[in-house]
Amino acid sequence: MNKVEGFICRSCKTRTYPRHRRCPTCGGEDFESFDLGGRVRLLTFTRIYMLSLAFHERFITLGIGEFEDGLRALGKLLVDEPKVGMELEVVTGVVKMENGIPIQGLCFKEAAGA
Amino acid sequence: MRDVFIVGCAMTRFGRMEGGLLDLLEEAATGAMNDADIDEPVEGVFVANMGAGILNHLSGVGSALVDRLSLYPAAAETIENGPASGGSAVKVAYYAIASGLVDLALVVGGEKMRDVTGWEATDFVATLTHPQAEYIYGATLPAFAAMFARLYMEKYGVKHEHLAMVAIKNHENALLNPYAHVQQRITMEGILHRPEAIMNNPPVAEPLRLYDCCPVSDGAAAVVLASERIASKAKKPCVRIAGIGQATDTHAVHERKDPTELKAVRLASQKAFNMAGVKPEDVDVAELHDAFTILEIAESEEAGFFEKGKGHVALEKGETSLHGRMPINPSGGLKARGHPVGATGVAQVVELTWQLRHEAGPRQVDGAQIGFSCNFGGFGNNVLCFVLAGEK
Repeated sequence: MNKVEGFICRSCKTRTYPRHRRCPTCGGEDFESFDLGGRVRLLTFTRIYMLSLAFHERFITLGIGEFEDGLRALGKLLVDEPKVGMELEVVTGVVKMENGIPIQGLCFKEAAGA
Repeated sequence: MRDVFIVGCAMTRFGRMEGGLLDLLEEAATGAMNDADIDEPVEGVFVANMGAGILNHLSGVGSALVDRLSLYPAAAETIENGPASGGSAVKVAYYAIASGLVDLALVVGGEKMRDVTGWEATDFVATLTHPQAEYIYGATLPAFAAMFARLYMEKYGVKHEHLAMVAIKNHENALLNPYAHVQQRITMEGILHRPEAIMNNPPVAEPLRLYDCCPVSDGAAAVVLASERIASKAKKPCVRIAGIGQATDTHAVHERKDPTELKAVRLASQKAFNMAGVKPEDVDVAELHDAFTILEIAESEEAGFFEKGKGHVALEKGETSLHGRMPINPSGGLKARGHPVGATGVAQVVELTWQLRHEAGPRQVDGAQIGFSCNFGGFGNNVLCFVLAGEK
């Protein structure tokens, strides 16, 4: 599966996601990429019942996860009873089907041993 | 820079409307020009619209409106800035007059959203979100408001009842506004406490429920702006645009340092107040962008009307009601007047103009002299605020 990439500014080492052409901290334009993975703490979440086009489930659950260094990302929550502050593992999975084609993105599942 | 005055205003009723987008724009524009009743050529036409291309298979809306109204050879623009398109169109027309390039301008905002299904309308608005980091996940605007609300409620002790109080207040105000989309009295019991409340008020994006969200509306609103030379001939009292502020923030909501802060609202408000030379405590009436009930509370704090975390306390005490210390959304707000996205920023200015001309009828705020509006684009990534002053 395709990984979702974050970016590290080679000038100031700030980690960002999603991609910016210029670093929001120092304005630098030289980045190296890294795979978003590991563990996050669930900052906030919602279960959405009024869905957008191409989503045919009864609901979807999305949340914002925070990595240890403060970098954050939105992802699909694969947890039945999410709670703010819970520790989650970041994986890549199908977040949407578009004209029969699976779209990969970030998913958060319960962390082993958490 | 030259002073800029509002010399005429009008709007259509908001709701599910017959006809096409251009019919709505035409009605609002004609109403505003008749209200201004000024026998001078309109030199600029600024049309705010977010989604005619997607919703109505229509482009070149500004040019089409000039033709409908036979205003040639007036300059014409269509201005798209998401749900802040209306505020942007007022701002651009202000620039044109303040710079001295134009003496008389027509600003019209409109949207025809009920031509498509609810799914399509939700998807259309969600195209504002970050394409790779948000949209593909099915993130909607209610979803961002919900995630914001969850944190805000926890941090500041805001209860579901406080959110419902915003809805109840704004529905009451809308009952006094013949242009409002929603003409329905609601009660705390009916939308929260009775057993059937979950049917009346189902979840949209937890913790937000149906009555925490604005409706999907059709409608248009218009103002005529003029330089002092033209405004001095106006038959009705004029309203001066005393301050304008605009600020942007990150596209992806998760990148904001404090997820319970609406930084662009705070910065845009401060800029508008500084330009006008007034303070939040000088404001008599405000129109805030309550697309979701939590936003009225949070914006009332970021604009400086209440201390951070105390907006819900002021609401509970009735300070934001029509006859309270700081009346907010006498029109019914987006929550009940409705939210045709391109029209909203202009409709806020129309309501304030009526309030400052003391023409708001049963929803008039007594003695209003200074008005404030906040037009919130995206989920707070592009915000415009205005301070308006009544002139004799």
